[in-house]
Amino acid sequence: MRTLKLKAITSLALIALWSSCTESPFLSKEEVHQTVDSLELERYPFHKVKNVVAIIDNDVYYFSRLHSLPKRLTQTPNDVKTHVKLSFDRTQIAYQDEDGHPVIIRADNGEVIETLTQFAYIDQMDWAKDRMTLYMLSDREVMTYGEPLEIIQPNSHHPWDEVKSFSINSIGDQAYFTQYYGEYQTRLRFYSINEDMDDENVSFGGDSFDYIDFYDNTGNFLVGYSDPFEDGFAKIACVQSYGFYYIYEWGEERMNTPAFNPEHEVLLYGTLENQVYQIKGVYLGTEAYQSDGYSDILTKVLEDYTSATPVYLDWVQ
Amino acid sequence: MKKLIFVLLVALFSFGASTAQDNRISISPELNIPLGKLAWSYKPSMGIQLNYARIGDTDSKITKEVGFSVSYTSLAPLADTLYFVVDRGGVGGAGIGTAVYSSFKMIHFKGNFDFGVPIVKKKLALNFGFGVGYLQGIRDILFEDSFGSMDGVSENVAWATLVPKVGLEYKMSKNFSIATYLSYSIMIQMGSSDPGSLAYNEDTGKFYHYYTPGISLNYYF
Repeated sequence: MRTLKLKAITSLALIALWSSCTESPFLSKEEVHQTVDSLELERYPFHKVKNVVAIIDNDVYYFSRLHSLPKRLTQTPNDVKTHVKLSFDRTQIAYQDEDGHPVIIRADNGEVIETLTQFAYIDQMDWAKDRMTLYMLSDREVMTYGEPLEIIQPNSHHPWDEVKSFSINSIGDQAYFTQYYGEYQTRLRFYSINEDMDDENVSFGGDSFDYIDFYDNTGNFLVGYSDPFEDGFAKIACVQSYGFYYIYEWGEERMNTPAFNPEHEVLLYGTLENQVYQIKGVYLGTEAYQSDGYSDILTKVLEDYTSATPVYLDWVQ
Repeated sequence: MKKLIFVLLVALFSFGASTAQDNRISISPELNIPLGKLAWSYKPSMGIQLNYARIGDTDSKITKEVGFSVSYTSLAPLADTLYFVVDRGGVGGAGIGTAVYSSFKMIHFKGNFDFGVPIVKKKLALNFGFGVGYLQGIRDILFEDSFGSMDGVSENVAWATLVPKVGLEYKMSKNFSIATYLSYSIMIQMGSSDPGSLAYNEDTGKFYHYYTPGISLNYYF
Protein backbone atom coordinates (compact mmCIF):
# COMPACT_ATOMS: atom_id res chain seq x y z
CA MET A 1 0.00 0.00 0.00
CA ARG A 2 1.39 3.33 -0.91
CA THR A 3 -0.02 6.61 0.20
CA LEU A 4 0.94 9.94 -1.22
CA LYS A 5 0.11 13.14 0.62
CA LEU A 6 0.14 15.76 -2.06
CA LYS A 7 0.77 19.24 -0.76
CA ALA A 8 2.14 20.99 -3.78
CA ILE A 9 1.98 19.93 -7.40
CA THR A 10 5.31 21.53 -8.15
CA SER A 11 7.14 19.16 -5.87
CA LEU A 12 5.91 16.17 -7.85
CA ALA A 13 7.86 17.41 -10.82
CA LEU A 14 10.80 17.80 -8.49
CA ILE A 15 10.52 14.21 -7.27
CA ALA A 16 10.16 12.97 -10.83
CA LEU A 17 13.30 14.86 -11.73
CA TRP A 18 15.06 13.36 -8.74
CA SER A 19 13.96 9.87 -9.76
CA SER A 20 15.50 10.29 -13.18
CA CYS A 21 18.89 11.33 -11.82
CA THR A 22 21.86 9.10 -12.46
CA GLU A 23 23.90 10.67 -9.71
CA SER A 24 22.82 11.62 -6.25
CA PRO A 25 21.13 15.04 -6.20
CA PHE A 26 22.10 15.48 -2.58
CA LEU A 27 24.97 17.75 -1.69
CA SER A 28 26.26 19.25 1.49
CA LYS A 29 24.45 22.36 2.67
CA GLU A 30 27.48 24.47 1.75
CA GLU A 31 27.68 22.95 -1.74
CA VAL A 32 23.98 23.61 -2.33
CA HIS A 33 24.38 27.23 -1.28
CA GLN A 34 27.43 27.61 -3.51
CA THR A 35 25.65 26.07 -6.49
CA VAL A 36 22.57 28.24 -6.03
CA ASP A 37 24.74 31.36 -5.67
CA SER A 38 26.68 30.39 -8.76
CA LEU A 39 23.50 29.81 -10.80
CA GLU A 40 22.05 33.11 -9.66
CA LEU A 41 25.25 34.94 -10.47
CA GLU A 42 25.41 33.31 -13.90
CA ARG A 43 21.86 34.39 -14.60
CA TYR A 44 22.10 37.74 -12.88
CA PRO A 45 21.24 39.96 -15.82
CA PHE A 46 23.57 42.82 -14.92
CA HIS A 47 26.49 40.44 -14.72
CA LYS A 48 26.29 40.00 -18.50
CA VAL A 49 26.30 43.67 -19.41
CA LYS A 50 29.44 44.61 -21.35
CA ASN A 51 30.80 47.68 -23.12
CA VAL A 52 29.12 50.58 -21.41
CA VAL A 53 30.49 54.10 -21.72
CA ALA A 54 29.43 56.82 -19.34
CA ILE A 55 30.17 60.43 -18.51
CA ILE A 56 30.73 60.68 -14.77
CA ASP A 57 31.82 63.99 -13.28
CA ASN A 58 32.52 65.25 -16.77
CA ASP A 59 34.92 62.47 -17.65
CA VAL A 60 34.39 59.52 -19.97
CA TYR A 61 34.62 56.04 -18.49
CA TYR A 62 34.54 52.69 -20.27
CA PHE A 63 33.07 49.72 -18.41
CA SER A 64 34.21 46.58 -20.23
CA ARG A 65 31.76 44.87 -17.85
CA LEU A 66 29.26 46.65 -15.73
CA HIS A 67 30.52 44.96 -12.58
CA SER A 68 34.20 45.56 -13.35
CA LEU A 69 36.39 48.59 -12.70
CA PRO A 70 35.89 51.09 -15.53
CA LYS A 71 38.71 52.65 -17.49
CA ARG A 72 38.85 56.43 -17.23
CA LEU A 73 39.45 57.72 -20.74
CA THR A 74 39.57 61.47 -20.16
CA GLN A 75 41.16 63.51 -17.39
CA THR A 76 39.38 66.83 -17.91
CA PRO A 77 36.69 67.08 -15.25
CA ASN A 78 36.44 70.83 -15.69
CA ASP A 79 35.32 70.51 -19.31
CA VAL A 80 31.59 69.84 -19.57
CA LYS A 81 30.76 66.74 -21.58
CA THR A 82 27.36 65.37 -22.57
CA HIS A 83 25.68 62.81 -24.84
CA VAL A 84 28.28 60.07 -25.03
CA LYS A 85 27.99 57.46 -27.79
CA LEU A 86 30.04 54.31 -28.50
CA SER A 87 30.58 53.23 -32.11
CA PHE A 88 29.14 49.90 -33.26
CA ASP A 89 32.64 48.35 -33.39
CA ARG A 90 33.45 49.81 -29.95
CA THR A 91 36.62 51.55 -31.17
CA GLN A 92 35.50 55.18 -31.02
CA ILE A 93 33.47 57.29 -28.67
CA ALA A 94 31.73 60.55 -29.44
CA TYR A 95 30.53 63.09 -26.91
CA GLN A 96 29.57 66.73 -27.02
CA ASP A 97 31.80 69.34 -25.49
CA GLU A 98 30.57 72.38 -23.63
CA ASP A 99 30.16 74.28 -26.89
CA GLY A 100 27.99 71.49 -28.28
CA HIS A 101 30.61 70.25 -30.74
CA PRO A 102 31.00 66.48 -31.12
CA VAL A 103 34.39 65.20 -29.99
CA ILE A 104 35.56 61.80 -31.19
CA ILE A 105 38.04 59.92 -29.03
CA ARG A 106 39.57 56.46 -29.13
CA ALA A 107 37.75 53.97 -26.98
CA ASP A 108 40.90 52.24 -25.78
CA ASN A 109 42.92 55.20 -24.49
CA GLY A 110 40.77 58.32 -24.80
CA GLU A 111 43.05 60.03 -27.30
CA VAL A 112 41.15 62.76 -29.16
CA ILE A 113 40.78 61.85 -32.83
CA GLU A 114 38.84 64.90 -33.92
CA THR A 115 36.64 67.68 -32.67
CA LEU A 116 33.84 68.36 -35.14
CA THR A 117 33.60 72.12 -34.77
CA GLN A 118 31.55 72.31 -37.95
CA PHE A 119 28.61 70.81 -36.05
CA ALA A 120 26.80 72.42 -33.12
CA TYR A 121 23.32 72.77 -31.61
CA ILE A 122 22.83 69.04 -31.80
CA ASP A 123 19.57 67.66 -30.41
CA GLN A 124 20.47 64.00 -30.77
CA MET A 125 23.42 62.08 -32.12
CA ASP A 126 24.48 58.47 -32.46
CA TRP A 127 26.75 56.23 -34.42
CA ALA A 128 25.23 54.25 -37.27
CA LYS A 129 24.86 50.66 -36.20
CA ASP A 130 26.85 49.16 -39.06
CA ARG A 131 29.45 51.71 -40.16
CA MET A 132 31.71 54.46 -38.87
CA THR A 133 29.23 57.25 -39.38
CA LEU A 134 28.11 59.70 -36.78
CA TYR A 135 24.67 61.11 -37.48
CA MET A 136 23.39 64.23 -35.79
CA LEU A 137 19.93 65.71 -35.59
CA SER A 138 20.14 69.48 -35.48
CA ASP A 139 16.98 71.53 -35.73
CA ARG A 140 15.04 69.73 -38.48
CA GLU A 141 17.96 68.25 -40.34
CA VAL A 142 19.99 65.07 -39.96
CA MET A 143 23.67 65.52 -40.76
CA THR A 144 26.33 62.85 -40.98
CA TYR A 145 30.05 62.60 -40.48
CA GLY A 146 32.14 59.68 -41.69
CA GLU A 147 31.20 56.96 -44.16
CA PRO A 148 28.25 57.75 -46.45
CA LEU A 149 24.83 57.09 -44.94
CA GLU A 150 21.64 57.56 -46.91
CA ILE A 151 19.14 59.63 -44.94
CA ILE A 152 15.58 60.58 -45.82
CA GLN A 153 15.15 63.98 -44.26
CA PRO A 154 12.08 64.61 -42.12
CA ASN A 155 8.92 66.11 -43.49
CA SER A 156 8.29 69.62 -42.30
CA HIS A 157 5.38 71.88 -43.15
CA HIS A 158 5.88 74.89 -40.96
CA PRO A 159 8.93 76.76 -39.72
CA TRP A 160 7.84 76.06 -36.18
CA ASP A 161 7.55 72.31 -36.66
CA GLU A 162 9.97 70.65 -34.28
CA VAL A 163 11.79 67.39 -35.01
CA LYS A 164 12.29 65.88 -31.60
CA SER A 165 14.15 62.67 -32.31
CA PHE A 166 15.64 60.55 -35.07
CA SER A 167 16.99 57.01 -35.26
CA ILE A 168 18.14 54.63 -37.98
CA ASN A 169 18.88 50.91 -37.86
CA SER A 170 21.39 49.05 -40.00
CA ILE A 171 18.85 47.98 -42.64
CA GLY A 172 17.92 51.53 -43.48
CA ASP A 173 14.71 51.88 -41.50
CA GLN A 174 14.55 55.30 -39.94
CA ALA A 175 12.08 57.19 -37.85
CA TYR A 176 11.38 60.73 -36.64
CA PHE A 177 9.34 62.09 -33.80
CA THR A 178 7.94 65.42 -34.93
CA GLN A 179 5.92 67.98 -33.07
CA TYR A 180 3.99 69.72 -35.79
CA TYR A 181 3.04 73.30 -35.23
CA GLY A 182 -0.44 73.58 -33.82
CA GLU A 183 -0.65 69.93 -32.73
CA TYR A 184 -0.54 68.73 -29.16
CA GLN A 185 0.78 65.22 -29.76
CA THR A 186 4.01 64.22 -31.42
CA ARG A 187 3.92 62.04 -34.50
CA LEU A 188 6.27 59.17 -35.21
CA ARG A 189 7.02 58.75 -38.89
CA PHE A 190 8.84 55.75 -40.34
CA TYR A 191 10.77 55.68 -43.59
CA SER A 192 12.89 53.05 -45.24
CA ILE A 193 15.64 53.59 -47.77
CA ASN A 194 15.18 50.02 -49.02
CA GLU A 195 11.44 49.50 -48.91
CA ASP A 196 8.43 51.56 -49.77
CA MET A 197 7.67 52.46 -46.18
CA ASP A 198 6.21 55.77 -45.14
CA ASP A 199 4.06 55.13 -42.11
CA GLU A 200 2.95 57.35 -39.34
CA ASN A 201 2.11 56.34 -35.82
CA VAL A 202 0.35 58.94 -33.77
CA SER A 203 -0.56 57.26 -30.55
CA PHE A 204 0.81 54.49 -28.36
CA GLY A 205 -2.22 53.56 -26.33
CA GLY A 206 -2.72 57.17 -25.34
CA ASP A 207 0.88 57.71 -24.26
CA SER A 208 2.87 60.47 -25.85
CA PHE A 209 6.54 59.97 -26.65
CA ASP A 210 9.19 62.14 -28.22
CA TYR A 211 12.32 60.00 -28.37
CA ILE A 212 13.12 56.93 -30.48
CA ASP A 213 16.04 54.53 -30.68
CA PHE A 214 16.05 51.42 -32.87
CA TYR A 215 17.75 48.67 -30.91
CA ASP A 216 17.61 45.95 -33.56
CA ASN A 217 16.75 45.35 -37.22
CA THR A 218 13.32 43.79 -36.81
CA GLY A 219 11.22 46.87 -36.26
CA ASN A 220 11.71 46.90 -32.52
CA PHE A 221 12.61 50.18 -30.89
CA LEU A 222 12.64 52.10 -27.66
CA VAL A 223 10.52 55.21 -27.24
CA GLY A 224 10.86 57.72 -24.46
CA TYR A 225 8.74 60.45 -22.98
CA SER A 226 10.67 63.56 -21.91
CA ASP A 227 9.58 64.98 -18.62
CA PRO A 228 8.52 68.58 -19.36
CA PHE A 229 9.38 69.67 -15.82
CA GLU A 230 12.62 67.77 -15.21
CA ASP A 231 15.67 66.75 -17.20
CA GLY A 232 15.57 63.31 -18.77
CA PHE A 233 12.76 60.89 -19.48
CA ALA A 234 9.87 59.99 -17.24
CA LYS A 235 8.84 56.87 -19.12
CA ILE A 236 10.23 54.50 -21.72
CA ALA A 237 8.62 51.65 -23.62
CA CYS A 238 9.91 49.05 -26.02
CA VAL A 239 7.70 48.55 -29.02
CA GLN A 240 7.60 45.51 -31.25
CA SER A 241 7.54 45.30 -35.05
CA TYR A 242 6.66 48.94 -35.78
CA GLY A 243 3.51 48.36 -33.78
CA PHE A 244 1.65 50.01 -30.97
CA TYR A 245 2.16 47.42 -28.27
CA TYR A 246 4.80 47.53 -25.59
CA ILE A 247 6.94 44.53 -24.84
CA TYR A 248 8.49 46.28 -21.88
CA GLU A 249 7.85 49.55 -20.16
CA TRP A 250 9.46 51.39 -17.31
CA GLY A 251 8.80 54.67 -15.61
CA GLU A 252 10.98 56.72 -13.32
CA GLU A 253 11.79 60.38 -12.98
CA ARG A 254 14.89 61.80 -14.63
CA MET A 255 16.01 58.86 -16.72
CA ASN A 256 18.90 60.09 -18.80
CA THR A 257 20.07 58.45 -22.06
CA PRO A 258 18.20 55.14 -21.75
CA ALA A 259 19.87 52.20 -23.53
CA PHE A 260 18.15 48.85 -23.90
CA ASN A 261 19.49 45.45 -24.91
CA PRO A 262 16.82 42.92 -25.96
CA GLU A 263 19.05 39.88 -25.56
CA HIS A 264 19.60 40.53 -21.89
CA GLU A 265 16.35 42.46 -21.42
CA VAL A 266 18.21 45.10 -19.45
CA LEU A 267 17.68 48.85 -19.54
CA LEU A 268 20.49 51.18 -18.46
CA TYR A 269 20.25 54.89 -17.86
CA GLY A 270 21.65 57.73 -15.84
CA THR A 271 19.60 58.52 -12.78
CA LEU A 272 19.44 60.87 -9.83
CA GLU A 273 19.18 59.08 -6.50
CA ASN A 274 19.91 60.53 -3.08
CA GLN A 275 21.02 63.81 -4.63
CA VAL A 276 23.77 62.19 -6.70
CA TYR A 277 23.82 61.08 -10.31
CA GLN A 278 24.45 57.40 -10.89
CA ILE A 279 24.12 54.58 -13.42
CA LYS A 280 21.07 52.44 -12.96
CA GLY A 281 20.12 49.13 -14.55
CA VAL A 282 16.67 47.58 -14.68
CA TYR A 283 15.97 43.99 -15.64
CA LEU A 284 12.82 44.08 -17.73
CA GLY A 285 12.66 40.36 -18.57
CA THR A 286 9.19 38.90 -18.72
CA GLU A 287 10.04 36.60 -15.83
CA ALA A 288 10.48 39.66 -13.64
CA TYR A 289 6.99 40.88 -14.45
CA GLN A 290 5.47 37.45 -13.92
CA SER A 291 7.05 36.60 -10.63
CA ASP A 292 7.33 39.83 -8.72
CA GLY A 293 5.15 42.49 -10.22
CA TYR A 294 6.18 45.87 -11.50
CA SER A 295 7.30 47.39 -8.21
CA ASP A 296 9.72 44.58 -7.37
CA ILE A 297 11.49 44.39 -10.70
CA LEU A 298 15.18 43.76 -10.29
CA THR A 299 17.28 46.91 -10.39
CA LYS A 300 20.90 47.75 -9.78
CA VAL A 301 22.52 51.09 -9.04
CA LEU A 302 26.27 51.46 -9.45
CA GLU A 303 26.74 53.15 -6.12
CA ASP A 304 30.53 53.21 -6.42
CA TYR A 305 30.38 55.61 -9.36
CA THR A 306 28.49 58.71 -8.34
CA SER A 307 28.60 61.97 -10.19
CA ALA A 308 27.93 65.58 -9.31
CA THR A 309 26.85 66.21 -12.89
CA PRO A 310 24.21 64.29 -14.87
CA VAL A 311 25.34 60.87 -16.02
CA TYR A 312 25.12 60.17 -19.75
CA LEU A 313 25.73 56.66 -21.02
CA ASP A 314 25.65 54.36 -24.00
CA TRP A 315 25.81 50.60 -24.33
CA VAL A 316 26.93 48.50 -27.30
CA GLN A 317 26.90 44.93 -26.10
CA MET B 1 4.04 -15.29 -2.79
CA LYS B 2 1.82 -18.33 -2.09
CA LYS B 3 3.50 -20.20 -4.94
CA LEU B 4 6.90 -19.38 -3.49
CA ILE B 5 5.92 -20.77 -0.08
CA PHE B 6 4.44 -23.87 -1.66
CA VAL B 7 7.59 -24.57 -3.69
CA LEU B 8 9.71 -24.00 -0.62
CA LEU B 9 7.68 -26.39 1.52
CA VAL B 10 7.67 -29.10 -1.15
CA ALA B 11 11.43 -28.75 -1.52
CA LEU B 12 11.92 -28.77 2.22
CA PHE B 13 9.99 -31.94 2.92
CA SER B 14 11.01 -33.92 -0.14
CA PHE B 15 14.65 -32.99 0.22
CA GLY B 16 17.00 -35.97 0.77
CA ALA B 17 14.22 -38.11 2.21
CA SER B 18 16.19 -41.34 2.56
CA THR B 19 19.72 -40.19 3.46
CA ALA B 20 21.61 -38.84 6.52
CA GLN B 21 20.32 -35.36 7.26
CA ASP B 22 20.83 -32.41 9.57
CA ASN B 23 18.79 -29.42 10.50
CA ARG B 24 20.39 -26.09 11.23
CA ILE B 25 19.27 -22.92 12.85
CA SER B 26 21.31 -19.76 12.68
CA ILE B 27 21.42 -16.30 14.02
CA SER B 28 23.30 -13.71 11.98
CA PRO B 29 24.17 -10.15 12.79
CA GLU B 30 24.82 -8.47 9.48
CA LEU B 31 25.66 -5.15 7.95
CA ASN B 32 23.47 -3.92 5.11
CA ILE B 33 25.36 -1.63 2.76
CA PRO B 34 23.13 0.32 0.34
CA LEU B 35 24.20 0.68 -3.28
CA GLY B 36 23.02 2.94 -6.10
CA LYS B 37 20.03 5.18 -5.41
CA LEU B 38 19.46 3.58 -2.03
CA ALA B 39 22.90 4.86 -1.02
CA TRP B 40 21.89 8.44 -1.94
CA SER B 41 19.73 8.56 1.17
CA TYR B 42 20.78 5.76 3.54
CA LYS B 43 23.96 4.72 5.20
CA PRO B 44 25.16 1.19 6.05
CA SER B 45 23.17 -0.15 8.97
CA MET B 46 23.13 -3.25 11.13
CA GLY B 47 20.44 -5.89 10.88
CA ILE B 48 19.73 -9.36 12.19
CA GLN B 49 18.74 -12.55 10.41
CA LEU B 50 17.26 -15.79 11.69
CA ASN B 51 17.59 -18.82 9.50
CA TYR B 52 16.41 -22.39 9.35
CA ALA B 53 17.86 -24.90 6.87
CA ARG B 54 17.31 -28.56 6.23
CA ILE B 55 20.51 -30.11 4.96
CA GLY B 56 20.46 -32.97 2.49
CA ASP B 57 22.83 -35.95 2.37
CA THR B 58 25.65 -34.87 4.64
CA ASP B 59 27.85 -37.66 3.32
CA SER B 60 27.79 -36.51 -0.28
CA LYS B 61 30.58 -34.38 -1.75
CA ILE B 62 28.34 -31.40 -2.18
CA THR B 63 25.68 -30.82 0.40
CA LYS B 64 22.39 -29.30 -0.59
CA GLU B 65 20.35 -27.12 1.72
CA VAL B 66 16.84 -25.73 1.62
CA GLY B 67 15.52 -23.33 4.22
CA PHE B 68 13.93 -20.08 5.03
CA SER B 69 14.95 -16.95 6.85
CA VAL B 70 13.56 -13.80 8.27
CA SER B 71 15.60 -10.68 8.74
CA TYR B 72 15.08 -7.19 9.97
CA THR B 73 17.04 -4.07 9.36
CA SER B 74 16.46 -0.38 9.75
CA LEU B 75 18.55 1.62 7.31
CA ALA B 76 19.42 4.94 8.89
CA PRO B 77 19.28 8.08 6.74
CA LEU B 78 22.58 9.66 5.72
CA ALA B 79 21.69 12.81 7.66
CA ASP B 80 18.76 14.35 9.47
CA THR B 81 18.28 16.66 6.47
CA LEU B 82 19.61 16.19 2.97
CA TYR B 83 20.06 19.20 0.70
CA PHE B 84 19.66 19.54 -3.04
CA VAL B 85 19.43 22.28 -5.66
CA VAL B 86 16.04 23.23 -7.07
CA ASP B 87 16.34 24.88 -10.45
CA ARG B 88 13.24 26.30 -12.08
CA GLY B 89 15.32 28.18 -14.62
CA GLY B 90 15.51 31.90 -15.22
CA VAL B 91 16.45 34.77 -12.98
CA GLY B 92 15.71 33.92 -9.36
CA GLY B 93 14.81 30.35 -10.34
CA ALA B 94 17.49 28.57 -8.32
CA GLY B 95 16.65 27.57 -4.78
CA ILE B 96 17.46 25.15 -1.99
CA GLY B 97 15.56 21.94 -1.44
CA THR B 98 15.58 19.73 1.62
CA ALA B 99 14.66 16.09 2.02
CA VAL B 100 14.02 14.43 5.35
CA TYR B 101 14.07 10.64 5.29
CA SER B 102 12.93 8.45 8.13
CA SER B 103 14.71 5.16 8.75
CA PHE B 104 13.90 2.58 6.08
CA LYS B 105 12.53 -0.39 8.05
CA MET B 106 12.77 -3.62 6.10
CA ILE B 107 11.33 -7.00 7.14
CA HIS B 108 12.58 -9.62 4.78
CA PHE B 109 11.25 -13.18 4.37
CA LYS B 110 12.96 -15.48 1.94
CA GLY B 111 13.41 -19.06 0.88
CA ASN B 112 17.00 -20.19 0.53
CA PHE B 113 18.64 -22.76 -1.74
CA ASP B 114 22.27 -23.36 -0.89
CA PHE B 115 25.15 -25.72 -1.60
CA GLY B 116 28.16 -26.60 0.53
CA VAL B 117 31.51 -27.73 -0.86
CA PRO B 118 33.91 -29.12 1.78
CA ILE B 119 37.39 -27.63 1.66
CA VAL B 120 38.71 -29.39 4.76
CA LYS B 121 36.52 -32.39 5.51
CA LYS B 122 34.16 -31.85 8.46
CA LYS B 123 35.87 -28.54 9.26
CA LEU B 124 35.74 -25.95 6.51
CA ALA B 125 33.26 -25.58 3.68
CA LEU B 126 32.51 -23.12 0.92
CA ASN B 127 28.83 -22.25 0.77
CA PHE B 128 26.98 -20.62 -2.10
CA GLY B 129 23.39 -20.29 -3.15
CA PHE B 130 20.55 -17.86 -3.46
CA GLY B 131 17.37 -16.76 -1.80
CA VAL B 132 14.05 -15.65 -3.24
CA GLY B 133 11.88 -13.53 -1.04
CA TYR B 134 9.46 -10.89 -0.05
CA LEU B 135 10.41 -7.68 1.69
CA GLN B 136 8.11 -5.19 3.34
CA GLY B 137 9.63 -1.72 3.38
CA ILE B 138 8.32 1.14 5.49
CA ARG B 139 9.54 4.73 5.43
CA ASP B 140 8.49 8.39 5.28
CA ILE B 141 10.02 11.10 3.09
CA LEU B 142 9.39 14.84 3.24
CA PHE B 143 10.53 17.24 0.51
CA GLU B 144 10.51 21.00 0.90
CA ASP B 145 12.06 23.82 -1.06
CA SER B 146 12.83 27.49 -0.64
CA PHE B 147 9.94 28.42 -2.95
CA GLY B 148 7.48 27.09 -0.38
CA SER B 149 6.67 23.78 -2.08
CA MET B 150 6.24 20.79 0.18
CA ASP B 151 5.51 17.15 -0.52
CA GLY B 152 5.36 14.14 1.74
CA VAL B 153 5.47 10.47 0.87
CA SER B 154 4.58 7.70 3.32
CA GLU B 155 5.56 4.31 1.95
CA ASN B 156 4.56 0.86 3.13
CA VAL B 157 5.48 -1.15 0.11
CA ALA B 158 6.10 -4.78 -0.90
CA TRP B 159 9.26 -5.69 -2.73
CA ALA B 160 10.28 -8.95 -4.40
CA THR B 161 13.85 -9.92 -3.73
CA LEU B 162 16.55 -12.11 -5.21
CA VAL B 163 19.60 -12.72 -3.03
CA PRO B 164 22.67 -14.58 -4.29
CA LYS B 165 25.11 -15.43 -1.56
CA VAL B 166 28.57 -16.90 -0.96
CA GLY B 167 30.27 -17.79 2.35
CA LEU B 168 32.75 -19.84 4.33
CA GLU B 169 31.73 -22.07 7.22
CA TYR B 170 33.98 -23.37 9.94
CA LYS B 171 32.71 -26.24 12.04
CA MET B 172 33.73 -25.88 15.64
CA SER B 173 32.04 -29.08 16.85
CA LYS B 174 29.44 -31.58 15.80
CA ASN B 175 26.67 -29.14 16.66
CA PHE B 176 28.17 -25.69 16.28
CA SER B 177 29.73 -23.78 13.47
CA ILE B 178 30.49 -20.21 12.55
CA ALA B 179 30.24 -18.81 9.06
CA THR B 180 30.93 -15.60 7.25
CA TYR B 181 29.02 -14.67 4.17
CA LEU B 182 28.43 -11.95 1.65
CA SER B 183 25.06 -11.62 -0.01
CA TYR B 184 23.80 -9.25 -2.68
CA SER B 185 20.12 -8.28 -2.52
CA ILE B 186 18.10 -7.01 -5.43
CA MET B 187 14.75 -5.42 -4.47
CA ILE B 188 12.05 -4.82 -7.08
CA GLN B 189 8.94 -2.97 -6.00
CA MET B 190 5.76 -4.98 -6.47
CA GLY B 191 2.36 -3.87 -7.64
CA SER B 192 0.41 -3.28 -10.78
CA SER B 193 1.17 -0.65 -13.37
CA ASP B 194 -2.53 -0.60 -14.31
CA PRO B 195 -4.05 2.59 -12.83
CA GLY B 196 -7.41 0.80 -12.61
CA SER B 197 -6.05 -1.99 -10.44
CA LEU B 198 -6.37 -2.11 -6.66
CA ALA B 199 -2.71 -3.03 -6.55
CA TYR B 200 -1.75 -0.02 -8.65
CA ASN B 201 1.63 1.36 -7.71
CA GLU B 202 3.22 4.08 -9.80
CA ASP B 203 6.64 2.87 -8.73
CA THR B 204 6.12 -0.75 -9.75
CA GLY B 205 9.41 -2.14 -10.94
CA LYS B 206 11.50 0.37 -9.02
CA PHE B 207 14.84 -1.22 -8.29
CA TYR B 208 17.13 -0.98 -5.28
CA HIS B 209 20.10 -3.06 -4.30
CA TYR B 210 22.48 -3.51 -1.43
CA TYR B 211 25.00 -6.02 -0.23
CA THR B 212 25.34 -7.62 3.13
CA PRO B 213 28.38 -9.06 4.83
CA GLY B 214 27.47 -11.07 7.90
CA ILE B 215 28.54 -13.63 10.44
CA SER B 216 26.26 -16.48 11.38
CA LEU B 217 26.35 -18.67 14.44
CA ASN B 218 24.91 -22.07 13.54
CA TYR B 219 23.50 -24.91 15.58
CA TYR B 220 23.03 -28.34 14.01
CA PHE B 221 20.56 -30.87 15.33
